[in-house]
Amino acid sequence: MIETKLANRLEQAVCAVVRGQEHTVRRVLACMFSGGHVLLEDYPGTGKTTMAKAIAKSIGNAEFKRVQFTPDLLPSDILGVSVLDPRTGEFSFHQGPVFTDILLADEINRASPRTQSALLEAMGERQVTVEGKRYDLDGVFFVIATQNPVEFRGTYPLPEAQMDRFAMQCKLGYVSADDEAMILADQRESHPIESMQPVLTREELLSISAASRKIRFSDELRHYAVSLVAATRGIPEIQLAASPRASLALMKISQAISLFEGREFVVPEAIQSVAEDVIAHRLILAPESKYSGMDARQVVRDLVAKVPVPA
Amino acid sequence: METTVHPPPRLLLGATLLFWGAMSGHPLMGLAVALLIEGANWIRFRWNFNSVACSRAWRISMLLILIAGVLIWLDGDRYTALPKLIVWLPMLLLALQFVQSYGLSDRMPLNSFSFFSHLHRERNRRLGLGDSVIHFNFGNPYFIVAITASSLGINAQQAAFLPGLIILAGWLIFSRVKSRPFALVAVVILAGLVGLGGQIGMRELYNWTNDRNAAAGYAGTDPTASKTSIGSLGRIKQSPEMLWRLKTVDGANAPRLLRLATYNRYKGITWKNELPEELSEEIDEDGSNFRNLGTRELEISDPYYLLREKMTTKDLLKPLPAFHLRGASRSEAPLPLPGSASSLRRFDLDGVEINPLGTVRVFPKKSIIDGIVRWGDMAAPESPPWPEQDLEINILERATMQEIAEKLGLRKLPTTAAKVARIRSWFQDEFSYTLYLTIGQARFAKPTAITVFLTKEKRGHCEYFATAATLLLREAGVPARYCVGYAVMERDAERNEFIIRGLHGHAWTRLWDSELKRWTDFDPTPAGWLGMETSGESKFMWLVDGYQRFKEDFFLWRNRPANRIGATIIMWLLGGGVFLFVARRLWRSKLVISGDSTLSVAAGSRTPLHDLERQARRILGPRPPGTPFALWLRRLAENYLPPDELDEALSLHQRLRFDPAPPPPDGESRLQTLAFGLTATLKRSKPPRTASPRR
Repeated sequence: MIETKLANRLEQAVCAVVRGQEHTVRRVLACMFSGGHVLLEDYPGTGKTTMAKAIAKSIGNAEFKRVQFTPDLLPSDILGVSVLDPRTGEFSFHQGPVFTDILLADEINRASPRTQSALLEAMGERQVTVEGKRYDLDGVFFVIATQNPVEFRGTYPLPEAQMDRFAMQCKLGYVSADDEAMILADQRESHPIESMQPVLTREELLSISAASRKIRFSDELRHYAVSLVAATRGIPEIQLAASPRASLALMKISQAISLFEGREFVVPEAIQSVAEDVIAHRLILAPESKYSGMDARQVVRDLVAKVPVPA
Repeated sequence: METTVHPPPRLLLGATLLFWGAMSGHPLMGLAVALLIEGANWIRFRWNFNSVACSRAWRISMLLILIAGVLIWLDGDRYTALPKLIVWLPMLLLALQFVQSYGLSDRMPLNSFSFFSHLHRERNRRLGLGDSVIHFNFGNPYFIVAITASSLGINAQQAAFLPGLIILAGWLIFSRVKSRPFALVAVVILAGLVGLGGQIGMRELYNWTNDRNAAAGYAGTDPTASKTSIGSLGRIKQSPEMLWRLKTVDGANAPRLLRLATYNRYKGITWKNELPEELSEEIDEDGSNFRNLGTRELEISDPYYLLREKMTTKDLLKPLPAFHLRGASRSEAPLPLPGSASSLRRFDLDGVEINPLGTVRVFPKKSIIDGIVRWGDMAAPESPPWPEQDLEINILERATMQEIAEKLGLRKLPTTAAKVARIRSWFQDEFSYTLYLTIGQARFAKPTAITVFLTKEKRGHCEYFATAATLLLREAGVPARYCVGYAVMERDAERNEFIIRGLHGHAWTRLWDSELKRWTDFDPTPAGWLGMETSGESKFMWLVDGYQRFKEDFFLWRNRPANRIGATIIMWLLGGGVFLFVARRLWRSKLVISGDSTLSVAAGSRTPLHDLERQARRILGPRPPGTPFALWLRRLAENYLPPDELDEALSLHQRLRFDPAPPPPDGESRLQTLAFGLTATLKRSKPPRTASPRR
């Protein structure tokens, strides 16, 4: 498939800049192809912003904007604002950074929940309503948000509804010592991202998305995906379980992952490989289990091990 | 999650429960429980039982054990209650095993079995503290309980028990450990021997408690011989336990003496039972000569036992004094009856037997019996005297008896009544009653204990008086016998009934009145012994009596046919109601799981590669439910299978299995070939020699 080749080319280009994160890069790209948004969460300095920028830069004529979220950021700073034009005496709408192909919402949890929520409509429905007027976000609209773990100072945890809008949440983690040494070598003279050339056009990106949607998904696996998500409901450890939006994301992203692997259909392994990233961030643990050291990712891992998979 | 737990292998619990059913004599119940437990392998209903459900099941089981314990105890088996309860444990613990078998989890937390530990855990949960809990699979303790219960079953003495035990234990052990077969055989044999030892031990314990039961309330009632305490030293101790209750009918008089058994030959210090030549042919192997008494019925379900020969139904219509007799009895135990007892009525018995000396023994259906005794018509059930036996005096005692008879002038007295009066007044005037025995004489020593009693000490207890009086009467030419039984002397005015306790045990003389041609009782013990017997009673006697009375009355009430039906209906309604309630709640909260991986593959979605699963399981252990087939098989690529062929087979398998598009034309046949080759390769390879291949 030509799309698989394109996708792999993009992956290689990003991986050349973001060292040691091959695993995550593929998922983030798969998320982009599936039309979802991704939340990168990890400690400062692990390469979240670099990854987002690298992805943006390697896609040719795609528009890329970034918003640095700060505590005093307002919704209008993201969505846009109507300004009175003194010459005509009319209000004209100035589009905010949300009108773009790739939006990097850097340190999203530093803004107040009010501002964070401004993205809800855009991310969920690919449209923005300002002062009663609707503006469509057509084509590619991919939000890469980064955040520091919520336990850190000066952060506002994302509201549940906002969390659910992200198709997946990835952790980068620290890279191995070898990879870290390679990062140092890369950046001895200049950051490799500066010399990055686009490897894909915006149209090619759209065609990959279209191909990804055509990856075949059998009825049996559809049931399996649903039963994985449904298994989070009715467990005492979980206060808020995953929604059908999670099953949908699970299907779409496993399709995109299969595209990377050059397969025209989805196998159960593909679903399992992304289940943790797709489901875990939507769960809210019951206080008892949270404080007894449980972790949503662990819960999902246990469920994956427990729910019978089609053989 | 945490460590692995090992449930018993599939079908083992079912087999064990069937075994329990066979051993305990409840095969249908065993079958039903086995089907319920093993049904979990085929039924797809499951419940998400948490630790609360575990403790609830535990409480239900405890409650059932308590109820069963009370019922068994009330049934009168105080000493065999524990073994009987253990036999029923597999049924009583069923709720817990149900939670284990039909729960989603393969383990339960140990602390759900303790109320306090459970509270502690709940508190920790509330506060968000972690706690370390031991988890285990209840199937294993349940297996041990079922085996233990089987070893106490009524059929456990049969030859089938030990092989069954070895098979079941071996099954469990072989399922756990797959290496070192010879060591295992040794272990199984050892286990079999230990099991045999345990079985014998349990049996002994059971018999021992049974014997204690036998010895507890019925001592000294062997109808063939009664060993007296003549010649022993020390205080005579008798149990104050309430044995029988007696209530007269229509204000009739109560009998003064209730006979358990009669003996006619004194030798050493033992009174025995000796029949004349012509009767001795009929002696049973137990040394007695009992004759079965048939029943006669006046009305349906009102059986009479006529105690004398040549009685007719007409005799039953004669008005006679009567009394209700109620108490605990057991098979072949003599029944305490007045000397002139005529018939028994309304006793729930399998049979009544009588020997020529008038000892009546019964075969009760239940451990507590109740009925009406008619008596007092101046006739006796025993045979007329046999001169050879009933006038015989032991050579050791003969001289003393002659001397005393001479001294009292017994032989010269004209009537039997005068002889009796003479002896009675002599005892009354010159002798005293004591429970503290001071005559220490060996069995055949000279002078005998009786001689010492009559000539020197002149104090003793009833056995001395009865023995001496019997021998003196014989010396005086009156046929006489020695009786043991109870004196009726404690009257409960409130309930208008007489109570017979162990310490009312008594001995007296039964003599043949040749003028009246009948047997009559003669109690030679000086009056006043009654007060001595009852002194020193415990303060809490009323409590013990109350309990005993309640137990007996409840038992009889419960076993009355009408009440029995009522109680059964109530029990069924209650049990059925609880069952329906639980079943309804369970039905509503059930989850339906998709079954085991090998079973759930529909016929159409099976590929030739699935045939590899059996061989692969030999090496990898069973496939965990959440592990995809391809991922699982790929582990074999390292050591067992050629990676290229495996990869090709796996991708074909995935294609056939998960691609909704039509399969490639030769895909299936190619996969068939590959799978065949891979299976053959795998068959040739040896499984790894690790103790547990499971992951």
